[in-house]
Amino acid sequence: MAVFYEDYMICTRSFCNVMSGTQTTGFQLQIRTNYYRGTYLSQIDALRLVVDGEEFPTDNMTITIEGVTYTFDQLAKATHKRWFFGDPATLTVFKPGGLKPGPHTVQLGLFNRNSYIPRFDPEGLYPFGPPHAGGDGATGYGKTPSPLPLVAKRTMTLVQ
Amino acid sequence: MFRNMTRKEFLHTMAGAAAASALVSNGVGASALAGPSASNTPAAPRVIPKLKRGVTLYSYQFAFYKRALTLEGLLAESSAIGANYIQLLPEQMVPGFPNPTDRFVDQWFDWMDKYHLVPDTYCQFQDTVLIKGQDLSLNEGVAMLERDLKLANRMGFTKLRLLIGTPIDVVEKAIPLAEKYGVWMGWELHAPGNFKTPVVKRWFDVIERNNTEFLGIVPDFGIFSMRPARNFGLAGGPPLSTTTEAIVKYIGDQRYAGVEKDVIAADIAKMNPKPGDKSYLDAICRYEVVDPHEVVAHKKYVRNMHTKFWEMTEDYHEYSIPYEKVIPVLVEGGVDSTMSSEFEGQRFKQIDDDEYELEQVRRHHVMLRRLLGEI
Repeated sequence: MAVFYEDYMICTRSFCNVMSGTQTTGFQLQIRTNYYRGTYLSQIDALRLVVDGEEFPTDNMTITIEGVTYTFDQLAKATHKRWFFGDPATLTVFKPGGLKPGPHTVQLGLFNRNSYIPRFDPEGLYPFGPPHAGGDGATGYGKTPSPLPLVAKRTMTLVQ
Repeated sequence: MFRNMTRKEFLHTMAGAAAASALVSNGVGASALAGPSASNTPAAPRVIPKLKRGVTLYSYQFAFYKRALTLEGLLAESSAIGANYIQLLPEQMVPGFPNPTDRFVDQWFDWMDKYHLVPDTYCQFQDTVLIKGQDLSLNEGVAMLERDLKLANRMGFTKLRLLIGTPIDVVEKAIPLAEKYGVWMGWELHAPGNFKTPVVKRWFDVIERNNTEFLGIVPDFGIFSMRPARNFGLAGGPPLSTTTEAIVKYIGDQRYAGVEKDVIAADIAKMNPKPGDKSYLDAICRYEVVDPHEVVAHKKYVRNMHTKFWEMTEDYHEYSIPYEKVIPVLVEGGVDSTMSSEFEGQRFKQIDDDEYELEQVRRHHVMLRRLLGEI
């Protein structure tokens, strides 16, 4: 199945290193959600960022949405703030020395915990087929995939 | 699951899983959809249609996401094609959702006047697990639904579409709020569900025991689909490699034309089929296609319908859903409802044209206008 939003998740605009005084402390890039409703920040369940094969854990980054910067712990509690459909957010990644100027291949995975499909249907009320094995009536919906697939990929040039 | 699945993709996936399971029952045809259309060019309806044309701006989501068109641009386009009844997913397109500024709301009503539009249906999403590991309580759920009823009222919407999974107890408790805000609520009746699906019966129980006119259903035209959309592969059927392209096409064409499953099975048996060809026939006949007379029978519960489509052909037919057989039944049955055209083919096709969705909705409205006797 062709999927299109993934082609637009990683933005070339604003891809740069971040300085603090004279020190390069990391790098920044903008991303967009691939989810058609946009999302409450607390529903951003998982994010993976890989640059040139190196994975950067979310503990080492912040995300800035509508001018407010969050750690990923803070994000999980932000039940009243949204990431609007199509608007770029900025990821700031801690990496002393930053990235070298030149081309970099960036990969991204993102999963929103959407919950408007029942996760359990013990009475078999819904037309989702037979309950999964295990007898708990789980429909299988809303589980975070593990490992989270990297759905978006873009090679872009970092300019010093 | 390789990314954030939409509800619809999830339903398709589950349909596929179920089709492959041992619990498969025999395919069920739909008598009203069997047999050929009377004519390719529909005759004018014999009664004055009570169906009103509209569009859900969801149809234009790719253009909006790419910022090729603004919300106002989408409203202007809807107006230009006479799709005057607007359905919106406010969280998708309203800046500041769920608390837009008064300035935005004033602007919204100015647009409604300027383009001669009616705010018709608000599409609601009940996010029952807003915080990881914590389900909303009943009261929190009602509060979330009230948030949407309030905003619907504020933006002039008179109807609110509920998704299939919106908890029944929450909706039942919110009925007095729907009455307070003057907003009718309707659960989507979405494939592979139908009027016999247990949860649908449960909904009718709730409506009847509360004796309310503020709750009903929103039929989604996927319930009339005769074959999978093109570009959606075999949609839960067998692997492509086990099928014969010409036979798969034959099966789909015959099914769309209303030929019964056993007749198609006898035909393909003479065509030197591969094992997957028969599995494909079983898969696309797996789910009951709803007879549009059933919608007529439940018309008191229907005020908005999702006139879903995946591909309008150049000659103004929908590839999967035989609108020519459905709309006349609803018109003659006196169904009094708005129709929100919902284009969903952008999910299955790589599209470079920013206005591809616009052309598809335009074609859909040419078809609807013909079927309503407007042209």
